[in-house]
Amino acid sequence: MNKKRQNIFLQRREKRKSGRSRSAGTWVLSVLLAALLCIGALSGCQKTEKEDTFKVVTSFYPLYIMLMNLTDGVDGVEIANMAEPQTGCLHDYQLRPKDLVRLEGADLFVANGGGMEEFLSDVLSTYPSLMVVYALDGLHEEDLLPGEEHAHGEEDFHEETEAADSLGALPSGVANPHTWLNPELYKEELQYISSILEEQDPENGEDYRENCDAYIRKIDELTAEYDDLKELPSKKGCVLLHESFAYLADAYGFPVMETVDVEKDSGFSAREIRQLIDLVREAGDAMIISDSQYSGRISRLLAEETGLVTYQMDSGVSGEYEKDAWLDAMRGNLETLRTASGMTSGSAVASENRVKDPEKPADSETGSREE
Amino acid sequence: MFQYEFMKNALIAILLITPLFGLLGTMIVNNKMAFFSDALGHSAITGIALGVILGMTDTTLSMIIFGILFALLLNWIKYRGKAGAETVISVFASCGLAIGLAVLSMGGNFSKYNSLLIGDILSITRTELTGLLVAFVLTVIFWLFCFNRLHFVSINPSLAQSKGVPVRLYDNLFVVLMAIIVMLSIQWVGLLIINALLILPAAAARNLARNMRTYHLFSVLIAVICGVLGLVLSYYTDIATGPMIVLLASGVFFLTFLKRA
Repeated sequence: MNKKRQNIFLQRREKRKSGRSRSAGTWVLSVLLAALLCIGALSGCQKTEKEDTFKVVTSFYPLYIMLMNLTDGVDGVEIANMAEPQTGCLHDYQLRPKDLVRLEGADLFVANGGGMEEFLSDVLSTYPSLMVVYALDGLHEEDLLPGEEHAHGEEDFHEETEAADSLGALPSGVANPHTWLNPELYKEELQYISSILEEQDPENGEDYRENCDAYIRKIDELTAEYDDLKELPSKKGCVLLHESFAYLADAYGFPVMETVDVEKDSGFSAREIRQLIDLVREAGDAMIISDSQYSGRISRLLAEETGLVTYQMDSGVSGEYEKDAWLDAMRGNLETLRTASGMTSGSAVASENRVKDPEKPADSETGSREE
Repeated sequence: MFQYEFMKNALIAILLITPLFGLLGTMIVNNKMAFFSDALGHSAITGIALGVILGMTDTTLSMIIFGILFALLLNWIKYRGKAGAETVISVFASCGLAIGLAVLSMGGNFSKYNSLLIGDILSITRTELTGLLVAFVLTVIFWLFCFNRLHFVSINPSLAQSKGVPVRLYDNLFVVLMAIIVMLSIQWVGLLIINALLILPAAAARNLARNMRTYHLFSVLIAVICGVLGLVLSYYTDIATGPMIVLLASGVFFLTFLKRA
C-alpha cells in the first residue's frame, strides 16, 4: 500500500516536471516566433523611401569618393557605398544582406570592373534591370597594365583584353584593375562616369558636368605641383608589394623591378619567403613600396633581410568619407616618392597649407623606414 | 639556410614554442582536456575582436586577459559538475568564435586576419621573441615547482584534497598558464592548428613512454624535432611551415600508435 502511494507520488512529480519543461519550451518558442513576426513587420515598414530620387550605389571607397565629388550639391541624388570604408581592396570581400538591400533600390551601380567585383558577378545577374557602369570602360585598352596572371608575358594580355566584350567585364587577374592610382586615368574614368550620370539623370546634367570640371581642376593643380617627379634624370626602381602601385609608378615613370602581391596573404612556406628575398635582392638598389592597408609584416621582413628602405603608400581604398580623400592620399604618395628620390620638396609647404586635416597626410607623407 | 635572418628567428621561435607545447600537452592529454584547449584557442579571436573594439593597437594584451578569464570560466563550468561539461565548453567556444568573427568581419574584409588562422611564424621579429622567452621561463619555473602537486591533482583529486593540496587553485593555475601560452603563440602558430601541436606530441609520447619522466622527455623531443624538421622541410618545399609541422607530428603519432597496437 505504502509502495503504491509512493509510486503515485513519483508519477505526479514526473508529470509536474514534464509539464513545467513543456511550458518553458512553449515560452521560448513563442518568444522566438514573436521576434520573427516583429522582424517581418519591421522589414515591411522599411519600404517607405522616396521614389523620385536618383539612387546611385558604388561598389567601394574610391568610387564613392569620386561620386561624392560628382554629385556634390546636386539635389535629388542619393549615393550609397556597398563595402564599408575600412574594407580596403575588394578582392576578398564577403557580401552582407545590407549590400544587396542597397542594390535593390538603386538606379545605377557604379563598379570598378576588371575583376574587382568578381564576388558580385552572380548576384548582378539577378538584377537584370539594374544599370551597371564600370569605371574601366572609360579607358582605352592600351591604358591598362597586365594583371597578376600576365606579370611576365604581356602578349597574351593584349590578346585577352581585345577579346573581352568590354574592359570592365574582364575577369580577375587579366588586367591590373587599380587604375585610380594613375591621376590621368582617374580623370578619364571621372569624365566617363560623369557622362553616364548626365545621360541617366539629364535634369541635373549641367551640375554633374560642372562638378566634374571642378574636380578635374583640383586634380590638375595637385599633379602640377609634382611635375618635377616626371623630369627626374634618374629614377629609382621600385619593388611593389601590391600591384595597385604599378599605375602610380607608370604615371611618373618609375621603373618597376618586381611586383610581388603578397601582403594580403599569410601561410607562406619558408621557400617562398626565401625566393621573395632573393628576388628583391636581385632588384638591386630599389625602394620597397608597401600598402598601408596591410600589416606590413612582409615588407618589414624584406627590408631587414635586404637592407632596402620600405615606403608605405596609400592605395586610396580606405579612410573617412571625405570629398578630398583621393587628393589627400595621392598627395601623400607623391610626397613619399619625392622623399624616396632624395628630393627636397619645394612645394610641400604650399601643399601642406591646403590640406584640411593635418593628421591624415602626416602618416602617409613620411616615407618611413619600418623597424 | 640560416644565413637568412627570418630563418634564424623562426628557428628560435620554434625552439621556444615546441618544448612548451610538449610539456603542457602531457598534462592536457592526462587530464583529457583536448577539447578545453581547443576552445581556448578559438577564444583568441574574441580577444582580438575586443582589442579592436577598444581601439588597442597591440591586441596581444586583450587576448591574454580575455584568454585567462575564459579559461577560468570554463574551469568553473567544469567544477559545477553538471553532466555535459563538454557541451557547455563547446557552446562557449562557438559563441566566442562567432563574436570574434562577427566583429572582425564587420567591414566585410576578414582576410586581414587570415594570418591568425594559419599563423605567421616566418615573420616573427627579435622583439616579439621576448614574449615567447618570458612564457618559456615562466612555464619551466612553474613546472619545476608545481609539477608534483599538479600531477597528484590530475591522478586523484579527492586524495589530493584530503592531503591538503589546494586542488582548485592548482587546476586554475594550470589553465591560466595554458591560456597565456596559447595566446602568446597563437599568432605564430595559427588558430586552426594550435591544438594539434598541443595534443599530438604528448599523444604520441604516451604511446611510447613507460613512466612520467620518459613521457615528458618523449613529448618534448617529438615536439622539438617535428618543429625544426617542419621548418627545414618548408624551406625546401612550398608547404607552409605550420601545417608541415603538424603533418610530421601526426605521422609520428600514427607510427607510435602502430607500435603500441
